[in-house]
Amino acid sequence: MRAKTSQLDSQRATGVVVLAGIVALAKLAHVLVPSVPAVVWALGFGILAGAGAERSRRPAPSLPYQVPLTAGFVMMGAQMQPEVFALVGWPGVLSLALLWLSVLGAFALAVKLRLLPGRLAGLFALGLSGFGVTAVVAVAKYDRDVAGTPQTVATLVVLVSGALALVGYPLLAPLLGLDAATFGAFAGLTVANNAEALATAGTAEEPALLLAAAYKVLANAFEGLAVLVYLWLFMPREQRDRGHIGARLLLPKVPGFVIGFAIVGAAALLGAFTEQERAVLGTLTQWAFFIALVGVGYRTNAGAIFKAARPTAIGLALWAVTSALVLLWLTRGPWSGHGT
Amino acid sequence: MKTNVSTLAALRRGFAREFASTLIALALIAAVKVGLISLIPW
Repeated sequence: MRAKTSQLDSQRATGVVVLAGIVALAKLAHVLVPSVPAVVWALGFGILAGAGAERSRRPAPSLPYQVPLTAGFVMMGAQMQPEVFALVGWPGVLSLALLWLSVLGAFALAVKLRLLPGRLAGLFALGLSGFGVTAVVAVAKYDRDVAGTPQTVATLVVLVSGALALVGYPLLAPLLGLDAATFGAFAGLTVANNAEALATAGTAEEPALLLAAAYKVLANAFEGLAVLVYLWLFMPREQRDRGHIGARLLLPKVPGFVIGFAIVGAAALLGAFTEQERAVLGTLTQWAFFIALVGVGYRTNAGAIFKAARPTAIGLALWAVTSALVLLWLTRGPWSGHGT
Repeated sequence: MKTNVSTLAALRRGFAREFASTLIALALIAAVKVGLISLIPW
């Protein structure tokens, strides 16, 4: 027993060292070539290292990327400010509801037309409703049937859509004449992952970044609930019918980062942080997500990507359609040019 | 039965990790608050 534990410990230590090494390399690459976004470097180096580890004969260490992911979320609570809600306002809440409706509608239709299996469509919808990779990871922790390839494909769609937005949105903005506020709202709503959404919004001037962050905060507040809804809909019936197991499985999910985020967020709303402290915590959050993205890239199986080309393409196409709908709402809707 | 036990063990590990991550975040926030971390070269 003790031998097993110490073996586990040494594997974990290897994982930490490997992760630190890849993060250092990716960071160095970003410092040397800052024109390529940090996110791309983190994911790229992660995927390369993952592919390398897969080819080596020795068992690959698993990288502990969930720790920085959770810590990053909790620290993000410090960015909560009353102004954020004032910025988003009721039209913003409506925009978020519209995004959810269009994403759910699009993927439900895809299931009806037998373009996608139900569970994978659910995973896509969860990821693309603004909850991103973390929600997919959270669900895969409990729903074993999606751990593996479906999880990788859903993660991939979320990441590729984010990368497309990162490159495409800044090119799109001048063509459509989007102002910074609308651009920020568009990025915050339709780019599923926090890091990519903020990086995309960061290509425009203020208040794009602030608005994108506000929408991400709003969406993240619902992440725990969305994960529960997914598990309730898709968890194997036998597992759910055992009742108490289901309840035990669900309960620990809600605490974790949601409670941490809520506590820090409440403290921030009560004025616990100065502007400078907020900025430092923002940098720490960016670091945490950078490290986590290296880990996510490491786990992305490059081989599985090619095998799953069709569902990936369908997922991306549906993302593009729903994003276009949201853009139409933001620019032509009843509240266009007001507040957002 | 065995599955249930290992599921619970996995759950406990997951919960511990979540708890540890939250503690790390709170420790970092405290460090910022008392001025231990003020400027990070980025």
